[in-house]
Amino acid sequence: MLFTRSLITRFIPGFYEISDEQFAQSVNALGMEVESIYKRPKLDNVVTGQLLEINKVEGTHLSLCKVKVDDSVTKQIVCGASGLITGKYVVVALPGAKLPNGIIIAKRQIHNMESDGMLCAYSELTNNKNVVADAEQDEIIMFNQGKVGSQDWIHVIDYEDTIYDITVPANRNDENAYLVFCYEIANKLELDFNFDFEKIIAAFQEQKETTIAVNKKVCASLFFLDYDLKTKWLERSEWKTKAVLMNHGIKPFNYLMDKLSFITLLTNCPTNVYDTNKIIGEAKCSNATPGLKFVALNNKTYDLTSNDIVIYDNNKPISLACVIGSEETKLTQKTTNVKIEVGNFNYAHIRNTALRLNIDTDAAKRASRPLSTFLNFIAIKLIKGMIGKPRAVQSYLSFNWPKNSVSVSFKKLKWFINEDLSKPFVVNSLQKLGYKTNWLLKNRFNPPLWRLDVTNQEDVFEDILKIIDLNKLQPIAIEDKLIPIEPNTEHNLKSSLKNILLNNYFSEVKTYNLTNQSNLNKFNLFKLTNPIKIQCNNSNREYFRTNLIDGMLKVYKYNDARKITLLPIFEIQNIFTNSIKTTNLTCLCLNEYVVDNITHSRIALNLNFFKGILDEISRLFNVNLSFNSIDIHEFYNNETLTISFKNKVIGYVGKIKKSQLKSYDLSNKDIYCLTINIDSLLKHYEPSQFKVKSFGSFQTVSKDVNIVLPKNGINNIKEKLNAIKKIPDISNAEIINIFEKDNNVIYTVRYWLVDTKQFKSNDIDLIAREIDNIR
Amino acid sequence: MINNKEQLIQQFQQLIEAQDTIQKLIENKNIFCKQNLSPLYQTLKLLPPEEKREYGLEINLLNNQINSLFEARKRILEAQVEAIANKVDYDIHIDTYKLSKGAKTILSIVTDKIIAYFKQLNFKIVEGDEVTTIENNMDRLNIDINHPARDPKDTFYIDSIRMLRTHCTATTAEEIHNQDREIKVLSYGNVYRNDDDDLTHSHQFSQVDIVWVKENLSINHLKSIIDGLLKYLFGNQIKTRYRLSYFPFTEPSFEVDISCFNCGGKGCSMCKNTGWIEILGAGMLHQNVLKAANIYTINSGLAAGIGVDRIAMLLYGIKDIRDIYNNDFRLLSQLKGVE
Repeated sequence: MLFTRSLITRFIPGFYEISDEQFAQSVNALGMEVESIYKRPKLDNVVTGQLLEINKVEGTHLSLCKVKVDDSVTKQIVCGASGLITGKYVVVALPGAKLPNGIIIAKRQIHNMESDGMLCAYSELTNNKNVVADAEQDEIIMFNQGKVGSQDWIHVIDYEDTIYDITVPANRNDENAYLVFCYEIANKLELDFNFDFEKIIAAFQEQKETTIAVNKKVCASLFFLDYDLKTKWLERSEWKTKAVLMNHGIKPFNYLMDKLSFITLLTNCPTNVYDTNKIIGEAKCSNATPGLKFVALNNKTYDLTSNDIVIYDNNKPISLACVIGSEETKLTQKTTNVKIEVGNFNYAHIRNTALRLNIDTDAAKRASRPLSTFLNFIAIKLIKGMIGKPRAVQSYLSFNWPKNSVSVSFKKLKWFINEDLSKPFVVNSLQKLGYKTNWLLKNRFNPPLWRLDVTNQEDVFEDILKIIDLNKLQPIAIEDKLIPIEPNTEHNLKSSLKNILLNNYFSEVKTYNLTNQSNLNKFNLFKLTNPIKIQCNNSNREYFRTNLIDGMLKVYKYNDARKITLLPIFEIQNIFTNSIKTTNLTCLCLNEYVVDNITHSRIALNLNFFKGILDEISRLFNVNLSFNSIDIHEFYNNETLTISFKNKVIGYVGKIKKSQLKSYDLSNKDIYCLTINIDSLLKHYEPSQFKVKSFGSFQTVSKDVNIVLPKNGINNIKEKLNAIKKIPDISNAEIINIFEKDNNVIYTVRYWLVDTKQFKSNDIDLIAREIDNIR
Repeated sequence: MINNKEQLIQQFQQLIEAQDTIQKLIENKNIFCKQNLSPLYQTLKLLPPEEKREYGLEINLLNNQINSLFEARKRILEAQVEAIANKVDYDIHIDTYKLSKGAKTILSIVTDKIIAYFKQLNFKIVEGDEVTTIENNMDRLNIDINHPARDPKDTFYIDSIRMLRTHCTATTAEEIHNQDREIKVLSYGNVYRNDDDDLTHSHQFSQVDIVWVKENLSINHLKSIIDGLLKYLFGNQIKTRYRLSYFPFTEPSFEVDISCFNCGGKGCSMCKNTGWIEILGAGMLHQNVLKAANIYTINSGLAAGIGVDRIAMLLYGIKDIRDIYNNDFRLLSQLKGVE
């Protein structure tokens, strides 16, 4: 909400001595925040002038004015606005002046007439034209008294007022009321406060009312004040009033509405005004009938639901409570009687209605959070004081204000805020914030009547922190025991897994988990069913995704469209359906070499590369993974393997079919994909299982042998390799090279002899013969 | 008396000069010695005793001269080998990134940093479930039934029981539930709010949340933990500022600012000329939250929540949060090697 220096000073006379910085510190200390401080730019060459002569220019809408801008200087100014009055004082922008809207004034010819400046409307002196009444957008500012040549126009429209945009905590809607805000600021700054809350309470309690019909679940208090309309009330307010409202972002309307707007500023209670003659029978308050049509002041028709709170007469809805009034009961020039409404409605209903119907009124904003009815009472009192005694008052009263006192343990306070706070200091501090000490009940305090947020002693402690300087509290280290040590196994394993991938040139990405229905089943390799549907209006966020591949391919699409070199990428995310939760790792890479241009070293990213990574992963989790070729719709069948753990398929690795890449504009790429659910691996991990194999003291001996097989002999070579590994005295065997020759595939196998004994040449020959038999 | 001594030395010198590798040098020296020195030793054996001594001394002298020449030539060849081994044919100042390892996302970098701090304090680290219950996300956290945070327009509900977590505090609430003992938990990961994606908002973002439930914790203790974390993340030179705020699950609640690390507190566009940057929310656990967790024997807890995306954007100068979730490789490539 916006607050201004001039209005704060009206309630805290000593405030003029307080700098913006001191003010911001006090606001912060009270738990609020100054979001921004706005000061309008100084305007040179803009002075007060007096209209000496006004002559209409025939055939145009223009007037040729003689304006006195100094005791001895009169300027000729051509003005297009109507309603100018001779003798009135105006704001004159002289040549050289630069206005806030960027216009630079210069002497110029208009319809062959010289114009030596410009008469200003308010809309030309502000960047926020929304606060200017529609009728006044082009209307020249005129006032009755001034000193020509001076800049006293600044005071007329409060041009140089400082405007503070302040956010109050969500549970302190009362602080949006000037009276409460200034009360707390005055006490924090130890300055006098110019308003007597006590007097208001006493005066109000003497009031007599008649009861009106309300639904008590939606309304805590409701008042209707009936008046005979005075002519003046429909006229425009003086600049003094209008300027205050406009500086608070409120558009002035007429004398009556502007007074009520001002009272809303002071109390944070929205009001509404009806033409009484258009109300049939008694006004009452209730939930709307579902399907009811309501024509609002903005001329729009809204369909209402039972959650909307409506003020009715006997026939029709006359307003959407604290959101917007009706077209039918608005004030017109024919209005003779008015009914002013002050209500305290269920804030959640108000908020939901305003959000659902997209109505962003000041009233709805203020009424969307809870407020003590005590502030409604003050608003009533102010209306009576500023507008006059009503002909009749109808009210429904409840007591939506704090009734219970709060007990405070000084012992707890002592350790909660580790400072030596004396009891008198605490009591005095709380009294400064409006608490009443309950002397009969020891250590009990009654919070101020405008506060709904104080319910326990920690709330009271928070208020004590407002008085002492929170930032001066010394940090104290916590005495702690480190036992038992948290193993954090799952987190550590995930970190290690990431490191494996990072060290293998993969970069991590983070993609969105929510998707739309059409993308939901793309690449659903694990055939997950029963997806989670989100209650959301945005169709792109309707489902929790079933896989990461779609999102990651979109990352490739995004980067490829921008001609950025595609990197090998991976992502680890949790996938949820209504049946399961799983942690999935997915990697994508182009079938390209990672090449170092300087050393010319090359690493091919293909199926075998992924198998190498999976080998590292299996070592991390200390598990054996097995692979089997498979035919799946999304991948090429001669380059796809399942990854199994304990005979259960937990992942797939393969090359994505180009047809599947078409919708990502990537069909010209060869993309490999690894996707694996790692839950079973995470659960299986036991750090104590790993054992180091023993090794001997002799040098290692290795030999290479070529095994020639016809093409498509993948399973054969695996069997032959296993057979070689089983030969006694051979410790390990690996394929180190594969090449094709004469329609055959030739595998170079390197085998190592055990290092626990020394071999003679005869022994080695025997082993070679055994291998020949296997070949 | 060895007659052709001078001739032999000259012959040897010519021979070794012709050798361009150490291997050839050694082989030719050995052959030379076998052909020319070995016969001299045979002659020595046959000489009468009175001549043996003088002849022996001569052979030794010759041997020494050959060895000196050999060593000198060997040193020259070794120097040549070193020179060749040390030779590079490119400017050694050029950058080589082609085979560098991959990059973590900026969110992981920041999350890992924060986790590292709390791991040292022996916190339990959990990612938790993004699909949580309304009970964990709202009810147990003292969020009033009418609180705006419950608005379906802002929150992703699944049904009347489940929702996507709007903060990681939902996970910590689950972790502390029925744990009526001292407990330290850090939860991290994705959270969701139904915002329109723009420069500073994303419907999916990352948080870290910590809770420490322990007897007699004070606001001073909270300040110690938070000050420590912020100095760890941003350096010892930064100052912290605490402002009272409001979160339903803590009482009192604080917003914590640090002095602007861009301008040192003088005021700049990053800190909106205030000299301070808002970093995290913290507070003492609300008594209603302890009660809802069935914690009765321990009377206090401290909590803090950190928006990872915001810190990442501040630390690394990212202007648009969408750059993170678009995974623009121009951003990602710059993060290679950043921890």
